[in-house]
Amino acid sequence: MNATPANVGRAALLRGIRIEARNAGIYDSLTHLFQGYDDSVATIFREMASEERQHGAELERRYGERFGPPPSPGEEPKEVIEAPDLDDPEAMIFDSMDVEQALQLGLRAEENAREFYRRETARTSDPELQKAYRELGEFEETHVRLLQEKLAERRGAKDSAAR
Amino acid sequence: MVTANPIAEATVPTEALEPPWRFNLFARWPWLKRLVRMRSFQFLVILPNLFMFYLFIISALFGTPVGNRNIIIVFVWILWWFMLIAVLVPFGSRIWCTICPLPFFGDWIQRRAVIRVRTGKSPGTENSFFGLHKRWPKRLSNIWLQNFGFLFLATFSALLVTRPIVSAAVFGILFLVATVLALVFRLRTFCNYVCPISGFLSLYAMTATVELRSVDKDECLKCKSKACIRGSDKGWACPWNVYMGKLDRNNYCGLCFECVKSCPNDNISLFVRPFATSDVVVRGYDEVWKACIMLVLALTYSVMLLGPWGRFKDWANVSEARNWAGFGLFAAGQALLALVIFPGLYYVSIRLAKWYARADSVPTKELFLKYAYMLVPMGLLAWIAFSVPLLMVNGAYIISVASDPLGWGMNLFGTADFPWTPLRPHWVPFLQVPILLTGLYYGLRGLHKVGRRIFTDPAQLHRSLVPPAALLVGVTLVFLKLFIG
Repeated sequence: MNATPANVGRAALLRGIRIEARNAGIYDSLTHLFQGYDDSVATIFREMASEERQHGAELERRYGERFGPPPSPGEEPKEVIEAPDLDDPEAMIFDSMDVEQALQLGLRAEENAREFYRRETARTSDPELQKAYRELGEFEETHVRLLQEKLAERRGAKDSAAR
Repeated sequence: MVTANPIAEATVPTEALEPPWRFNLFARWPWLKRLVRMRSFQFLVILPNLFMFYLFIISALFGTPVGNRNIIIVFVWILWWFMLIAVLVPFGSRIWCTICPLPFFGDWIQRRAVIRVRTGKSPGTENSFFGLHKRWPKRLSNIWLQNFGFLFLATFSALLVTRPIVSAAVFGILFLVATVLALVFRLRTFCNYVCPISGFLSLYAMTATVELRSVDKDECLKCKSKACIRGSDKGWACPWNVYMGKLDRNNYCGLCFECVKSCPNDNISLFVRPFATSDVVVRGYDEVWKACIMLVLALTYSVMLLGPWGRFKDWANVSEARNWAGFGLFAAGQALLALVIFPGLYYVSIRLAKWYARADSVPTKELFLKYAYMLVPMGLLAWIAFSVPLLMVNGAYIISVASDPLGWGMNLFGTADFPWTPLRPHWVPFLQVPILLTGLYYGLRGLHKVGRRIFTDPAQLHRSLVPPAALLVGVTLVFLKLFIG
């Protein structure tokens, strides 16, 4: 692929699609991990996997509008942007993962992604790439807000239950 | 990070907080990786131990009831104990758990296989397990049971280390409990939460000079399968429920090497590292109390078995002296010291540390948990110092019992009549003192290291270290008094 403005934007969007697909896979794995251990946590991860797939589908739609159908997925993205991960290696031993922590795990991943795209937007001088990164950053911003709302909802429910 | 004086120019140098070196053993010796990747590896290392345990049970049931003539007493409580505390833990982390036969039957039933892997969909894993696979109760998901279990066994140690039948009964019960729990609960519930030996292994494994870790944490971050904890067609889901991607301490890694087999990215390796330097984070009250209990038991054992006070020995040895009041006093005193008095003294030292450092913004809980690390190397080295004379004074029994394991008058290797000859008993204090001082050194060093993570102002840091360091020095002096009089 030549480094024309259209191509760099296209590559950035494609990378975004693949990251969403990879993360959906990671959330699937976490869903299975907590199934039968803590089903409420597993449900949160299942929802996150489904959201990642929706995000991926949305990015694919945008890609399709501009460049036609995206190529079949190739290599896994090398970057660790937005890759969600368990914070605590002993979470399963000490049963320390609850719904709130699962949401925070997702939130942190989305915040990292947003920061990554913001940094890349500031760093690049290529206007087309800047546009693509800005668009991806805004996209992540909506995910951040969504998860923040879920967390606030959860905390609110917990507070009222405590009262 | 907290500073009492925000305009203080001096700060703790950040380079001092760099992680210590580590050396990748699998990269250096690929044969070692090939060995642990063999599906039969763990079975092959457990098998001889299983045979030994069988022999121990037989010797307890049919052999002589005289402790120092029976292999279960001599091999377990002299040889095994010394090897475990002085060699296996400091140099091999939880390598004992690799070869421990106690969970063997539970694993076998759960997996319906000794060597091969079964793929399937037991909840949370990519493997097929037999049994109810239930979740262990949340309120018991800690090491409190192990703390109380070990303290209980320690209270009856005089019986345990002198009566073959009592030792066999305890091992039999542990085998049974491990197997039943494996049928009901998922994975190694017994090892994680119940086994009294596992409790102190987890604590002292923090000091070990080896660690099993991921080579590149980013690989784990990107990993979709999380095969280390979920299992795969190459390896069983981590029996200990540990996720390798973030593993940063040895405590709950039982070195079964299943993750080395299952990792799709070939990203797990065994590393050598400096002693008592890498894992310095104590995470919960259960771990703090474990550190307190172990240190106090090292002290009370030293009083009972090495000290000149025959009365205390009689109190502990209730089966011979029949002094039930004395035994009650000993049991209550030991429990009070381990569970209340010593943790209380440590708490007071933490309150004093906060006051002296003027560290009002540091939560007492944080300081209480983090500074407790100083008790870990100190406790381990105190146990080693206590165990040295056991081997030097009673080691000759190992040679004679090897030839006559059941005390029936056999002479398998021609050493049955080897006389009881203590090995250079006059050297004992000269070995105990440096061992103890090494524990003090690593305890203080660990305290300083942990403190640097909390305080950025050196003056505040040093003030905060004084009271807990004074406690540690006080403990060392008590041990020195016991060892050298």
